[in-house]
Amino acid sequence: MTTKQKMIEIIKAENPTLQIGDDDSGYTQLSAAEYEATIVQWAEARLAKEAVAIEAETRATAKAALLTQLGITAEQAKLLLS
Amino acid sequence: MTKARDLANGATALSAVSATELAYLDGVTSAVQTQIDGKQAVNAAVSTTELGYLDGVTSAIQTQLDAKTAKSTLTTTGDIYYASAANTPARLGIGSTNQVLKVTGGVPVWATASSGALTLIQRSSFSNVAGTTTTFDGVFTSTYKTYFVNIETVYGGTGADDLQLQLIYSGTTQAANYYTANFYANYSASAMSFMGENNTSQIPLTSHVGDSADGTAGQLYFNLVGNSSQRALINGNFMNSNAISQQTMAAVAYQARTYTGFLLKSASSNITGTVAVYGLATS
Repeated sequence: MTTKQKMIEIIKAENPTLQIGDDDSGYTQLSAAEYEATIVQWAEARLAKEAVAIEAETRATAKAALLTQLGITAEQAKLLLS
Repeated sequence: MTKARDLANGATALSAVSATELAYLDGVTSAVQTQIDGKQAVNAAVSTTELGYLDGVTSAIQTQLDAKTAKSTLTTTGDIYYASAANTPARLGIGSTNQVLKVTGGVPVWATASSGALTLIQRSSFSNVAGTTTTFDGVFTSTYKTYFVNIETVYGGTGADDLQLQLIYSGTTQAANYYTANFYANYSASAMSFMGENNTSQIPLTSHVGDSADGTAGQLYFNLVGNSSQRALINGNFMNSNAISQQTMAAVAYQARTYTGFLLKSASSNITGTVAVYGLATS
């Protein structure tokens, strides 16, 4: 799993600057403090999503291993549970 | 010959009249002066052409003119004539810009045009922003009870990112107390997925904002916003061309506030898009 600091570095590399605004009123670059705060928020969000994906993958691997151990397919397992 | 005739007639006073002039009397059958007096005097100011305009006149011209409406009734550019009663022309002064002509009390009046069921409040485009921040602040007022937000298109820097929403009140972003129920299915799914979000800092609108090639479109309805301090209700639908997915959400901002707007953002990347906000008429 990626560390928070590594994720921050990745996101900073993707976004050397950040801006807000719109086509009508124009765009403004975030201040250094706002930039840092936003990058940290984004890093935490990506790490949370990564953790969910890893958990799902771990669960799928465990299920597959259990099915192999039982010697049945996923469809047969569904039939047993129905 | 002249002299001879003068002599013959014994009228020496006619010596100034030539024979040719005398010949003009040939064919005259009665007193010339009487005939002249019987003719209409020619008015030098009236031409023959002008006299010809009287051809076809069947009654007193002044009477006919008096029966017509005076041009001076219309005093201002844009004025129009109408009948305030039978045979009574009247002036209707020009209305204001964008007014339409309607009937009140049996006569035409200018009135403000009905805006229809949906009124566009704001439509804005944004490109590669960390969030829309104040772009859509001020769109909720006491003018409407329900607001329709059409997310024409939006996509993020990371396609698999969440698209999120937060409400704004008094220039402050509400960053707590959101409760959301979210149902999701894509084209290959055999069942819907459910995501419940309790007491979060933002409302998740869709779990896949998409990228520049496969953006997201969606529609949101806001109730209990803009009028008084209330718990805002938001519900909507989203679709994404990459996941070919349908997502339906309903959320409440449990903290009662007089919410004046909203902001859109992605969970962890920039967003680009175009969003329009409409007010729904109540009558």
